[in-house]
Amino acid sequence: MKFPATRRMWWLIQQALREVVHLRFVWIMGFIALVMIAGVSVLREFNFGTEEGRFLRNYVEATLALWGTVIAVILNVAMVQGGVERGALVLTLVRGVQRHEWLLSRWVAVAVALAWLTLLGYVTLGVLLVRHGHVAPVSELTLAGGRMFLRLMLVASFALTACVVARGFLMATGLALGLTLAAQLSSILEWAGRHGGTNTNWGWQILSWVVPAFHVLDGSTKALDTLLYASGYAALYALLACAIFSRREI
Amino acid sequence: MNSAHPLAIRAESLVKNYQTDWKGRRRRALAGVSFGVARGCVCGLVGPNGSGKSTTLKILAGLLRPDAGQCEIFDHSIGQAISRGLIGYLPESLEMPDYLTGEAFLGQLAQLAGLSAINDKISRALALVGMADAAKRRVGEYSKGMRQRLGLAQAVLGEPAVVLLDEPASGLDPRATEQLGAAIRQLRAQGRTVLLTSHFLPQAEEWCDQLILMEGGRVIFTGSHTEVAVSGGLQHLYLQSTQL
Repeated sequence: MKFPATRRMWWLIQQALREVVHLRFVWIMGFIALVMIAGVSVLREFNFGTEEGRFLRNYVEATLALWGTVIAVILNVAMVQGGVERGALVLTLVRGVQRHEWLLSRWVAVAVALAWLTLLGYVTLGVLLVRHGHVAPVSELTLAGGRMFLRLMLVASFALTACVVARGFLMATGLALGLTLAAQLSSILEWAGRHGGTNTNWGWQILSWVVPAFHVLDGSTKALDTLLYASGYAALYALLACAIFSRREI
Repeated sequence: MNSAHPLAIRAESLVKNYQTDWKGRRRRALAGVSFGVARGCVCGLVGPNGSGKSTTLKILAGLLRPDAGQCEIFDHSIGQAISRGLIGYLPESLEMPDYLTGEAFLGQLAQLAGLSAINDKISRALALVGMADAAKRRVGEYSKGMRQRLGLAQAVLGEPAVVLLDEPASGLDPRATEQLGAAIRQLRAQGRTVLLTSHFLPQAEEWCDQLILMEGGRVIFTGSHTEVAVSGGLQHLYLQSTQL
């Protein structure tokens, strides 16, 4: 009896999600929620006047962006490189699973985990804003949550590629964080591309094409354009990772 | 598979190089390895570290592509779906999820392989390795020997015709090694072909009908158990043939 490819993929995603849960992801989400609540309590001790709502929102979003980045990288490294080291990959490959199926199932599981995390962050933010007497516009927070998720997905895609390019946990983590930093500094890269000499100009220009710009996700671009831009880059990085992984020695 | 095939495994002129750094420098792991393993026989690949034993097994399991040469399982090229269904593989290092029971772990792999009559096959695989009593216990509670036997159980789960075992006795105490030996003898009694790698020469000599000695990515001796005995034993052959 043959296991159809779609069922096999679904099965792999389910197993990868189980692994996410067993990596104590629920505990980590609880910890991040506590950090948000405690930080907001501390911030409320200061007098921000009418700007308090904006300060609280900035704090929660910064916390989510920072911890989300760390989690996106660590989850990928633990699941991809850890899976290769532990022999989990080998056991699936000898049963007819393709390498790209295994890798993509992990990417999808991390995406689901990041969606949970983003949802938790923005629900916590909404509740905190309302509780402290501020306005929490649902549509605006939903759009902001969507942009945050896309940003974290880009980080997860960088990490996926880093995991198949680099050998060793430290190298993969370093490469993923380096790409994230480059994306964060994308506006500076573009500026350097415009103002550098002829040779450096091209170098910066190519870098700004290879690395997506996080400033596109800051809300100034139309929602649909942002969605296409971020999901396009995330898919490109994931496909690149699959192409490299299918040729890598294990 | 039918009884007309005298050879279960056939490897011919296998060459494999590994890239060792980003500059593209390569290290030769296999330099033209050829051998055949008769159907229903237990064959041992022995040799020092880095001689190419694990690489050979990985190629046969379809995990690595050789740079040159070819290998077949019952006349089917490696990589074909039909040859994959004929192989069970135990990797050298395998960590199983601590949170699953032994039975659930095998159940997952059986589902993935698309096996039918899963419960029966799990029971038979666990019985073969003497783990039927521990089926409902979590893997986290297993000793090293039990984990290794569960690893063997996953390799024989689909009742494959060929079982590839990479250092199956590594790190096992004498009792666990004896239990593993009993499982391998039972596989032979069932008519399965077993190809295993080992560093532990007395065990390899005791378990195997055929022995292949490798060094530096080449086969330097191949012979039956009797031929090895006539040549002065495996230890003697090993020390004489390998550059120490």
